[in-house]
Amino acid sequence: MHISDGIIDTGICIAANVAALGLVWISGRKTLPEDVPRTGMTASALFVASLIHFPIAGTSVHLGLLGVAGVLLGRRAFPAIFAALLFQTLIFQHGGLITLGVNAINMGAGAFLAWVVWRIKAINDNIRAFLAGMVGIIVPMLLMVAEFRLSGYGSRIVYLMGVYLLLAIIEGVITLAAVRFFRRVKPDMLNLT
Amino acid sequence: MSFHKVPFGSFRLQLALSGQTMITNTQSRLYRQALNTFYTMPKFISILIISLFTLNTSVFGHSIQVEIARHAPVVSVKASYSPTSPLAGVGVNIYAPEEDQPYQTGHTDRQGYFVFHPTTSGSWIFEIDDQHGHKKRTTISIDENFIKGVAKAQESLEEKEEELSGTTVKGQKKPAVPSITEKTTSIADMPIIYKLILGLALIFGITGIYYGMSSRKSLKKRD
Repeated sequence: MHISDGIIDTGICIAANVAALGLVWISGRKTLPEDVPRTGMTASALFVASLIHFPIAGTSVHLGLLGVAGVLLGRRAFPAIFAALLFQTLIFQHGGLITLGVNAINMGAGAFLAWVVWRIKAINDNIRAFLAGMVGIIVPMLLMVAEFRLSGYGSRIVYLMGVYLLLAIIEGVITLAAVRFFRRVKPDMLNLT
Repeated sequence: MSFHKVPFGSFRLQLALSGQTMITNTQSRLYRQALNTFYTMPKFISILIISLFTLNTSVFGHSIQVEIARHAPVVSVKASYSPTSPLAGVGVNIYAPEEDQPYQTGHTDRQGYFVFHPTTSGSWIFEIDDQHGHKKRTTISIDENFIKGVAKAQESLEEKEEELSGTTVKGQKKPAVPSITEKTTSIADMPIIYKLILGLALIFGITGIYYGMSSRKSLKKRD
């Protein structure tokens, strides 16, 4: 789900990079010391997650764990996502530095909306977690498709939305598993956002 | 709470160096919260990784990997996501040196191979794009001898490299994993497990430094 360099207009990418740095500053500003280990560990999980890929229908999609990031970190998810993407680019050559901002904003939006869904207490806990996981994939996917179409790229991309929906279901299950795991092992982590 | 009850070695050392014999409630709370987080998340990550490993052994790796094989005068490129998932039927553009328009366009075959025949020396560019966000441009340098179909020029280059690195036995197979003594000059050439450890180490390190700095700030405020 990472967008490589050379696909989206460079001017937009640079603007997105600046915006992303601004978002890191805004969401990281009021971080308390006790939030920091959680942010670091989530960033590590996000970093590892992109390695785990599923070859489906001739292409390959990878886990994002953005639902988990949204549930655990809420508004503070953006710095973790930015850091994970930065290291993925530098070390795995996955994505690009120019498109770092665009990717971060896409995924940040996914994590943020996953958090919003998670906060709707009216729904049953398990369903909330599953939906948060799905939103964490579907929102970045929609943003990515919109960006591709605006750049005139990716004629095949619409057909791949089905594959991403499948991935969204898998992520929903993983987020549900994560929430149940934390509820059993350390419930405090779920109430901190 | 006296610091003898603090099991973490480096934390005890830090306290001892700063002359503290008792830790404050705030320090104790911060320390316990950090420990709890560090103990919980790795369990979750490892459960996730192990369960996925049982489903699919080639689970790691995702960006486009390109292997270039030179068979003078022709170059064969294999593109894949991982050793078991080739990029089949994906669009390729070949650019001749110093040209903006593609010299050749085509698609990879079922095993991810694409072959082209360069006719001028210089840096040729192989560009592959799977139309869903993954694009890769690789530069392939071609010299005059390659175009003439002389494979010997490539071989003598390899012999020189072996002499320089100290392996003088000819005909011996190079190890599949780059050993530490070989010139692995870039991060891209490292095996994936080393890259993973490097990335995690960087994240943990930066998190730890930031945590230390912000804890110190908040402790100063409370004093």
